[in-house]
Amino acid sequence: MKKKALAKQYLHDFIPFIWYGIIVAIVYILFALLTDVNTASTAATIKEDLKETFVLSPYLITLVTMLGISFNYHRFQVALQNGVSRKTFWKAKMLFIVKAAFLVNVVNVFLGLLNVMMGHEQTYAYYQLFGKAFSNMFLQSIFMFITDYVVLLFIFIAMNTFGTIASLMNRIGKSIFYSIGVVFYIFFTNLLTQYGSQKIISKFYARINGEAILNFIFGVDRYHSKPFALIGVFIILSIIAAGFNLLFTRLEQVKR
Amino acid sequence: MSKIEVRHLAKRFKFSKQPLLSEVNFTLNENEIYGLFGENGAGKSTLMSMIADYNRPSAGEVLYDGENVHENDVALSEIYFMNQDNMYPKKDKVRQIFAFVESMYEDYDVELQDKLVKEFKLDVNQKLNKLSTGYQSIVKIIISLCVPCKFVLLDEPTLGLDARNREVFQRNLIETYSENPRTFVISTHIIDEIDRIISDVILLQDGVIKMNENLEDIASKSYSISGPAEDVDSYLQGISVLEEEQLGRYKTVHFMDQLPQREVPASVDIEQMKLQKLLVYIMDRGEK
Repeated sequence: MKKKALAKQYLHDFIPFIWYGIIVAIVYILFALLTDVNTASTAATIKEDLKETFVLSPYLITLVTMLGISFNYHRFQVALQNGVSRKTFWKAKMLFIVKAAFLVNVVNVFLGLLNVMMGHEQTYAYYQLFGKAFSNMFLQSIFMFITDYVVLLFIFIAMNTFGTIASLMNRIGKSIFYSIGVVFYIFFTNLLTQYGSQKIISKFYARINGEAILNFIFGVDRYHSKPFALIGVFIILSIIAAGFNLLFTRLEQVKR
Repeated sequence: MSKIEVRHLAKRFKFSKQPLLSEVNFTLNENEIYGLFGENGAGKSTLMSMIADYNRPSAGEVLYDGENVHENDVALSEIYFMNQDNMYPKKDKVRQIFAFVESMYEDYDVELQDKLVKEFKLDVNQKLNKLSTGYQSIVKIIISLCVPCKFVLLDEPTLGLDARNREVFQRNLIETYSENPRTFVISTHIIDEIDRIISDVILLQDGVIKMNENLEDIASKSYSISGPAEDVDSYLQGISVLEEEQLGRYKTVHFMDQLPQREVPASVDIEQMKLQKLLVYIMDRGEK
């Protein structure tokens, strides 16, 4: 009873983030179109730019909702206030994430399908990998939904785990944690832009036959790609992430 | 009868020189009202938070009917801790918060909630963060009185409440306790306001329990005697006095002992010592 009630409350608090994501996507599209108007583009280029920016809207929504999923401490407070153990809190969180990922995925897939209808199916990640998986459009849509869902589920659990780790720290700890993250991000992005390091990575990738390994793991094949392996891999990854999430949820939260 | 046993409980925060709690032992029995007292920073809130499994002790354990409360859903569902912090979503309206709590507890008392909302004149359509400090406390008080838990821990429940609302709270606490007895642990600095409600006193000082007694027992051995100084002095000969106050010839003496076995002079008044006075004395003596 408490688990379901908590998950419902968490979902209620999370829904505004979907709206924020939609607003961010609309603003992003409008900005792109305003740039076109300023540069006196033709109607055809404006339409083309609309399509190109529209492609990004599911990703923008995912990005914003990822932020909403990562907040942990307030959820923890609500759970504790109502006499819930950390394990039950974790179960409520997982139930909430399962529902939230479903909800976000419905919005994303709807936008994805609109994108496909606008003739931009090749920009959609699923179509790039598994565009020829099923000849039946209905089956294709169902698997597109399932594939996107399991990937999103993993991302959401991973983001919540990240938020759970952060909520174990006080402000100073968090500042150090985020600073380390930023430094590593800058370091790696810099590294990737260096020709030398790119060469080393490509060499290493070729030596371990990285592309073949990834294609094998994700079931990508030039002619017969099916999303089953990818779905399986992401379910396993989600379970592992959920395990880590439980590990960190059980630790003592900082008294603030 | 359910009970909560606190055994050898200790808490030391990281980077602090002194432990906040070093050896705390006591038992909370069912259907009693306890007053938990102590100076600022004595560790009352921390102690309550450890009983409710919000924070972990550095040592010791809290048992509910012999079972450790940590990660124990059965035990935790019988303990409600009204924290000083706002634990509910701040952007939600009060009625949404009430609806959520109702969905969390099967036997949540909606009737009492509606009655309290009217008596406190609480606007349930306001968002929690738009309410004054007093009304935020009222929301928490209402929930605490309506949840079907056997042990309700109230940390500074009257924080920010005006005199009228403090009165409403006390009256309803007594009423709900009479109708549906359960254990309340009330931590407050306004001792005078709750000394008529509580049945037991727990005093926390220097990381240990300095006093854990029934209020009647305390009352039977702590007195304030006042009257002409010479009559008071002659009556209290041989008694160890806690404190004296003198105004001209009129003297008031506070002491903690049995009344002397001699005739009480007609000019002398005997009263039971105010709990606040007694606790302040014990705290002062503890510091020396």
